[in-house]
Amino acid sequence: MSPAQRLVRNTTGTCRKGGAFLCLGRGLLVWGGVLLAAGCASTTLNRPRDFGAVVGREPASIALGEIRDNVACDDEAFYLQRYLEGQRVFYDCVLADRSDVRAYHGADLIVSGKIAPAIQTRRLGWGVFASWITLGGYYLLGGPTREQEVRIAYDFEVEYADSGQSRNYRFEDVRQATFGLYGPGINLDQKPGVYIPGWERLLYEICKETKVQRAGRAP
Amino acid sequence: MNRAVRHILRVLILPGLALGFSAGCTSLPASARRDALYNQQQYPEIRELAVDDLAILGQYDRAGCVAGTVTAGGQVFDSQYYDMAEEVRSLTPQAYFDMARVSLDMGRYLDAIRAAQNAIESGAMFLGDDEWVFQRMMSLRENHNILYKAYLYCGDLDKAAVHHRQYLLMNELVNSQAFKKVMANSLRIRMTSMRLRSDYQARRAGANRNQVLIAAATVAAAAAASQNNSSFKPAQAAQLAQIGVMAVALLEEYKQALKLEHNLDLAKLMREAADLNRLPPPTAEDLRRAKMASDLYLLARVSDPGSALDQAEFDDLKRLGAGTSDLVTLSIDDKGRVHVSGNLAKLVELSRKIDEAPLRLPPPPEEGVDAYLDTYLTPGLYRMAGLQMSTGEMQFFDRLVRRGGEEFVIDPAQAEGQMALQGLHKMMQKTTEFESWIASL
Repeated sequence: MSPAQRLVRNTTGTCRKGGAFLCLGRGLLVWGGVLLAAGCASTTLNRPRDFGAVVGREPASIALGEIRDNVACDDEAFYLQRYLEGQRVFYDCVLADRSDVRAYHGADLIVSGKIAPAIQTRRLGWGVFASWITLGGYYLLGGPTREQEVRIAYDFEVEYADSGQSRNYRFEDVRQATFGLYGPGINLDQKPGVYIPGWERLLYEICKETKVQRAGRAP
Repeated sequence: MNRAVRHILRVLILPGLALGFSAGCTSLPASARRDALYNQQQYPEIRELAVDDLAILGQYDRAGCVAGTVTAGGQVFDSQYYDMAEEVRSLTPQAYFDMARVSLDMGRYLDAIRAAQNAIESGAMFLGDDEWVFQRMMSLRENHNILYKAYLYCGDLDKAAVHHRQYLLMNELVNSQAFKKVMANSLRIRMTSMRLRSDYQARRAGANRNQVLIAAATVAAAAAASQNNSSFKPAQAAQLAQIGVMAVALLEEYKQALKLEHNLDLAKLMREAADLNRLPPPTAEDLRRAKMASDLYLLARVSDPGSALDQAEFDDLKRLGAGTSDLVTLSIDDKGRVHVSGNLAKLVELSRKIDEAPLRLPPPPEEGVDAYLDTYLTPGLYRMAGLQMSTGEMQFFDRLVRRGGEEFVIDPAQAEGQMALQGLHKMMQKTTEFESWIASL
């Protein structure tokens, strides 16, 4: 499996990263050793090792244009900027002027794009049945009765100042969680955490492309 | 009353009551912490907090309207209550505004522009109704001011002048007698509505307790209770409606006063001020005002004429600016480290002099100010002033220079290396701007 394929994949699990402790606590209380043994499937995505490639080969700065999702009240570029600053791949990451994304900064890369999240929750028939059969005991003990699926489609446009070319990157992140009385262990519907796998993939693609473009003009 | 009861009263009940009262009194808006941090100049923390406040997916409905309760900044807001509705509607515009002012103070002008643009857009979305027109007016005023300053230091004087004109317009409205009168009445409404909040909190606590009891009783009831939020009584709805009516009545009064005193149509003005893409182009007078309102002009006016740059110093600067393009060269080795070779000491020294130049402009003459503005206050000067090095950056480069040597190695993977790269980039940009500015004098 290539790193790019590894970055975004279907994931099924009940706990992840920061939520792991909470999930473990619930598991210990409700399921005892059962969840401890089987439930905590980590879904942390693998980061490619050459993320520092852009800075390593040649310093680069990045500007973020319009990045929107289907909730109009916030600007995803602010979350992406915070993520990129934390990764230390680019020496500077600025938010471009919305009226003219190319003005004032002279950045090596300009990113703009669209994110379309779709969240679906459905009841698990067998879980509801088990609840009725056990007079609610199954539900109270935390047995799964619902399933949530988050499907996020990313569509990014990246302009490379080195080559003057634009590249389009489209990919999809799908993740599922099953839960009952206590709610999903993963915050599937909360920003900005839910978009991080998509940004990891975007960063990977940018690094790969920039590395290829700059390979011919190594110092 | 025996000793045991008194003991229980002293140890348990009174401290409990004190804790309860103090918890009630510390109910502050979500942005209050950011205000406190702003006074302490803790800018990165403010950015963190403000970005977190934006993460409210699922709490607003898809049309951008506030629905039900919203959790942000560690507090729960119920938009059905007038004072909370005001806070909850201001959450997003205020978060963007905080990021804008922090970015401006940090010298990150592009970030400031973006955040202020978003603040204006979200203000149109959440503060668009008549009831919130005063909050929106204040928000527009502050954000246009930030846009003015940010565009100015990006060297785009046209856009700076456009936003400065909007700022002056909003300022005029906000400082009118009618506005002050309305705001005094508004404060009264706000204080009245505070009772609703405490009422709301008590009711919510009761509702939560009931929910827990019901959840323990039956599974079905638990599921129902977990989905059911706080109740909203008809009496409270009537009170809220009354407050809304008062707010709108005040607005009407304000509109009338504006029409009589200034012959202004408030609705049209607000619409125009929020439409960033259709603001009318600046006139020569707007440009003149924008320059004259800038910090650099004001500083030149009030500073001691003795400390201003004289002709000999200008000649000296011209000589320095003549051959600055090749002061340092950058190369990168196989391990990805950046090698800086050349005369870094001279570049740092020049950078310091360039930073000083905009602050030591000759005083403007009493007559013929336009010629002065055209000569000195050019876009290049503002760009130069906008690229001032921070104290941390200067200390870093001074340390590097003191170490001596012809070549310096920077590892970009380290945080300090990133600061060095940013600083170098800034110094080189500044030198280019300086060359063109000094040559035109």
